[in-house]
Amino acid sequence: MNTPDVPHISPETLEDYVLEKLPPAERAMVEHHVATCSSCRAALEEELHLAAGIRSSGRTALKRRLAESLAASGQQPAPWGRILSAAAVLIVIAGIGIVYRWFTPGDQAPQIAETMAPVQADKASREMPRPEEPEPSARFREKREAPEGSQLRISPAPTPAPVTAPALTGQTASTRESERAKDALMENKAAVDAAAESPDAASALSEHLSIWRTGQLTENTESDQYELFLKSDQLAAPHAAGAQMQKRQDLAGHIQTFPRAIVRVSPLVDLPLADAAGRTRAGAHGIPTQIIQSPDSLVFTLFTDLPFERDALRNARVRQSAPDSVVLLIGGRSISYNLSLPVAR
Amino acid sequence: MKTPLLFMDDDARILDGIRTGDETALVKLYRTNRKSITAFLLRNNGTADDAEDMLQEALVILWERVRAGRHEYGARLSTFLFATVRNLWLRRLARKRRESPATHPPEDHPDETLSPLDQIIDDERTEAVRSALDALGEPCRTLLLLFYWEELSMEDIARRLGFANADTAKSKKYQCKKSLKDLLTNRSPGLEHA
Repeated sequence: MNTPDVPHISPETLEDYVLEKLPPAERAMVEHHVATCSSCRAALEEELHLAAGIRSSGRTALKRRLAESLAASGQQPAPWGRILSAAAVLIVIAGIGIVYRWFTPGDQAPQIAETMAPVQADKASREMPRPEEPEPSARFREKREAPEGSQLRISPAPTPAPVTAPALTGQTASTRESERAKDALMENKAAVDAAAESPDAASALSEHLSIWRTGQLTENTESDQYELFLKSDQLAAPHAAGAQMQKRQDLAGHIQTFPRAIVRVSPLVDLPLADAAGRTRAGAHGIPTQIIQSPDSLVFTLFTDLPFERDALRNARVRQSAPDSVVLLIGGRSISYNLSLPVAR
Repeated sequence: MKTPLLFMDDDARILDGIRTGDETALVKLYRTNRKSITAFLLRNNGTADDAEDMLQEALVILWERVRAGRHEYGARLSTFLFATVRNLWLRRLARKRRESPATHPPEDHPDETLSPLDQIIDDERTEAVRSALDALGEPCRTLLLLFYWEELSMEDIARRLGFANADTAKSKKYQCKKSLKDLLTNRSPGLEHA
């Protein structure tokens, strides 16, 4: 149906629409108009097809030039090269494993466990009396992807870990079990270290250990929320002092077992809809985040277009602001997650 | 103030190269990311050829984003490429599943996705435009690429192609588009308005 009293959309406006250069109001106007104007709708479809074909042509040409450049520089490896490379890597990994098992005495397991113990997260936690060293791998017992609403368990479990888990009980496990657990732990550590640098490795981890949360962003939060809380505690009115003190003690109990944070940022457009749909919400202050649980770290992948300095990401810290809330401190920002941690004992 | 190249890290240098149209920046990125991308694809039912294809696709997307000024991104380029490849690969796997009705009945498919038939028609139209664009000759081919793909302004296009001013470039663009539409109509009547 045509609308003779309304002027048709100009070709320039259609071009701008296709190139996504129109402001939202004009964009909506175009969409409203083409819904009732068949000739404009046909013109828009034609414009869309032209643009798609031209863009496709540009991409194809660029890919062809790229392939030519790579071929000229001899970068395209022969299939045998790939196979031999993979075989070499496998041999090296197997060799390292054999040498490691052969030469490492079993009674060193507790030392390794100590090195893998969670990093004390902040000054406040360092000042706390150090509890019994927890079983490191017990914090990572939940290997499957946790559903929304479930809690990410990080603190040590009270019972000894099963032999199949990468747990080190030190005094109670047999030498063979310790070695096996040690290997698993070292593999995990290597994977996490790699995850800090390689998104590939992070993805491999994410297949087993990830959960999704929406973080709530707060700007201009240079200060430490825990320290702020302590200050507010000191300034609290006398009648609230008891409750504040209890809260403070509860909080102190949580802070002891914080892992380090590895933070990566992906643009919001790359949020994998198939994986995250319904689990996270991107809003004005909401940042969909994939949280990967690993042996001594939490790997946060933030899906946001906010610019973050690399140094800020590198120096990110994770704190607990309440028993069911974890805060990621990045530069001048803080991002809060609903992520319950059980009380450390 | 522009950062001196001496003090830029690798990613910044590569982004700067892409902004100035230096395609060797993509070659460098390809070299540094090929292994991790290939490993990922091999672990996820892909082949080495798929990895080549996906990585090139991701590099082209990066190129387009940077050239169009839409790449404001704090993470490393390797992270961006990996995330892009992962999404592209998931989409391709989903498409493959849609094209196998024996294993995935049609009712499983979301309504908003194109049916295989629509996809074929869409691909044919795109191919027809690509072919007509190649037949159009210069400077029309480059002009339309600069406008629709590189998304340059008419002023920049005029400067790049040596036209007197933006109005001249705009007039030339109008002629080129008309020629392209004529070519499409003559080659496959009705296709572009199907």
